[in-house]
Amino acid sequence: MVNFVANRGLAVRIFLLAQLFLYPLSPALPQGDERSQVARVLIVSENESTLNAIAEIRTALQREFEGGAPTSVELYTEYLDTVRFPGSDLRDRLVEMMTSKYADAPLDVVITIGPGAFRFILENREAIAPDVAIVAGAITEASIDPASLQENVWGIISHFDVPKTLDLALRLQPDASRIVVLSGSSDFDRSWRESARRDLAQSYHGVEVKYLSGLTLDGFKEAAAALPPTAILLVLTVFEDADGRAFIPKDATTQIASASAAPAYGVYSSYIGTGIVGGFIETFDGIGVDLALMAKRIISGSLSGERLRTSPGRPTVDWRQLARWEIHEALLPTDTLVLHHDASIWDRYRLQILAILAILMLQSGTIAALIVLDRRKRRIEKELALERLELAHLSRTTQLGELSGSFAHELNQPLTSILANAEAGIRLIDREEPDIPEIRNILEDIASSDRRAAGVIKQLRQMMLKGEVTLEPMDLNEAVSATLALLRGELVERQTKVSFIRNSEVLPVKGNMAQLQQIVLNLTMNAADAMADLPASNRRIQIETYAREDGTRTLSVSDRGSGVSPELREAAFQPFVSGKTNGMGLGLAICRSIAGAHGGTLEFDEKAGEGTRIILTLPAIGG
Amino acid sequence: MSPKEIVVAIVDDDESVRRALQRMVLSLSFDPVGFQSGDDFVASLDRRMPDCVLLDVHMPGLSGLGVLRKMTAGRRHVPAIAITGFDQPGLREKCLDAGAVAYLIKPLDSSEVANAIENATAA
Repeated sequence: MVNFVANRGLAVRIFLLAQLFLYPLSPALPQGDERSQVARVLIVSENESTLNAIAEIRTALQREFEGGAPTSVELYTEYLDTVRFPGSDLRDRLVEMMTSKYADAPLDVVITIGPGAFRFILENREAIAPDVAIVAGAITEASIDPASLQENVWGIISHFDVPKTLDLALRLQPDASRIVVLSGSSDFDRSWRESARRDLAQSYHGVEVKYLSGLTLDGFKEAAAALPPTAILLVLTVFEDADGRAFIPKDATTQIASASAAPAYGVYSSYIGTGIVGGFIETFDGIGVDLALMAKRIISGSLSGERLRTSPGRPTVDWRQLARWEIHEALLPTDTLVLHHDASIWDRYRLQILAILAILMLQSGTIAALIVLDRRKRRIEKELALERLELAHLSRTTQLGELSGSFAHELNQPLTSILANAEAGIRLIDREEPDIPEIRNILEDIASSDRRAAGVIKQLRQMMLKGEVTLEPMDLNEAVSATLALLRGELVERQTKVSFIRNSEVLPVKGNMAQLQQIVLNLTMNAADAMADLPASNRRIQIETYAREDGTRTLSVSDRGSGVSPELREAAFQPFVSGKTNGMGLGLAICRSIAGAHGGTLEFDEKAGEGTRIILTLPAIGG
Repeated sequence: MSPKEIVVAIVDDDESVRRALQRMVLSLSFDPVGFQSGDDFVASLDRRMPDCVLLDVHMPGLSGLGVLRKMTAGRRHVPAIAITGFDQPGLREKCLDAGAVAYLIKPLDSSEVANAIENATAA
């Protein structure tokens, strides 16, 4: 039903659009024989044409006259705009203009919208439309007196239904704790309150009714703000407050409804949009329909009986307020008119929306799938990084373990120096004339040897550390020197000479010290292994570091061994492939993995002539 | 032969170790002479034969074992005490087989060194 209502609104809009295009095609005035068959209806509106209420009534009238009229109806519209321009001079000119305008186009019916328009036509009936039937709309009993009704004057009387409005409110708030009826201090406001009191008394359908009046506007706002959310606030009218300040009831209602802690309701259609949930209200559309029906029956001469009829209302709600108070639409009576309903967009563009939704869902699905894949990839990458870290560490410690003898030698050298110096020193002191300068030299040598031993331990610890995956700015040359210092004893033992050529004092890279040392250690030991069978004088390793022109950093390790055949070069990087009898063959695989984690590469130099040259390339620092 | 007259050669490529051992040997009342490589020591034998040598096994170039073999081959026998900071299985035997009279592991205790020198020069 709600959709039906919305569809009807849509139909009106489409109709209006059609009118825009059709108007220029139809003649302004009917000609010849058609003239007698055409009924002329003048719609006189009190307000300007752009006022929403007026436009809705006008649209409804047009629609009703177009559909199923026995004779074709020509509609004329005058907008008095006397509310904004109330001067009597202007009124006189309006009368003059309309009199001359319709002198040659006899009218059949004059429809007035609003009490001002009704009074204007009544006062100038003789000049503008003598003896023409008048149908008054958008008017209350207060403005039209059934007792002194002029000849041929008809009307649709607007009725404001408090009980039916409360029926709607109780339906929307089944657990309502109380009803609060709010009214102002003017005579009209008071009479409204008394009328409501007669209808409702102290309780309505078992819900207690309270009457809130005699307050200032601020007082009303405070009282409304203090209401429990389960209350029902019915705003009648506030033309005047307790301080005697005058208000347009709609404006006062706007302020009260926005301050209210409980849903507000009203009986006037003009209140819809002020912040009230709704009420049992006659709509402007409904008024237009009723006026058109009455006018058509006057034209066809079939109208008789009561000249004033009451316009039926219907439950009307503001969709935005339903949302504000979280009132479910399912609670609405089926004939409810839902205004400001955003869902009309859904009705209008259902197919397009569905198509767009389908595309969006497909896209979202694709994106979601990509995100899932990406997350999975990241997780796997993270796990791999951890595994690489573990494996690199395991491989490193294993390798260091194999070299423990040389490290013991590296430590034993300074320890030997310390012990020998200390014992010599003691004997020197025991002499009758101790050689103090020599004792001083001895102590200095002890201190420096001690530092050397501490340095070895520090280097070892550093390489034994598992460390983090994070890369820090560091010196690639330092990684080489520190590793070579550790390997000194081993290389001496293997009768292998190493020359380290650095093309700059410091070569900054972003890396992990222990892991890069591991690469240096691996490559150096591989080179030493490769030359084990050569005469000692030929066992030479050359390590070179330099920065390329593009900023990338390079470390190369060359040996004079028999070299690695091109077929075996790639295989050498595979795990568990080893040319040696001991070790797991993980060395180069792990080194390449470390290089990759540093954003670099580890490859054999294809151009190396004699022996093997393996090159580590690391990215330029700082991009 | 009084201790002061006993010349003890000390061959170690590590300068600080060599210097410390020279001091220790001196404090034991022997006459120390230092050499920074095996080759230097072997070359010196043509000029003067020490009474005894403290010989580091691990040296670049001519290693301690190399020195022992060269002395044997050149019939220039100096009682050698092999010293090492890198004790490995089989190394002691290798050294003794190559002609060393003693095998000591670094760091060296002075009484151990004194005993070794006295034993090596007693013959």
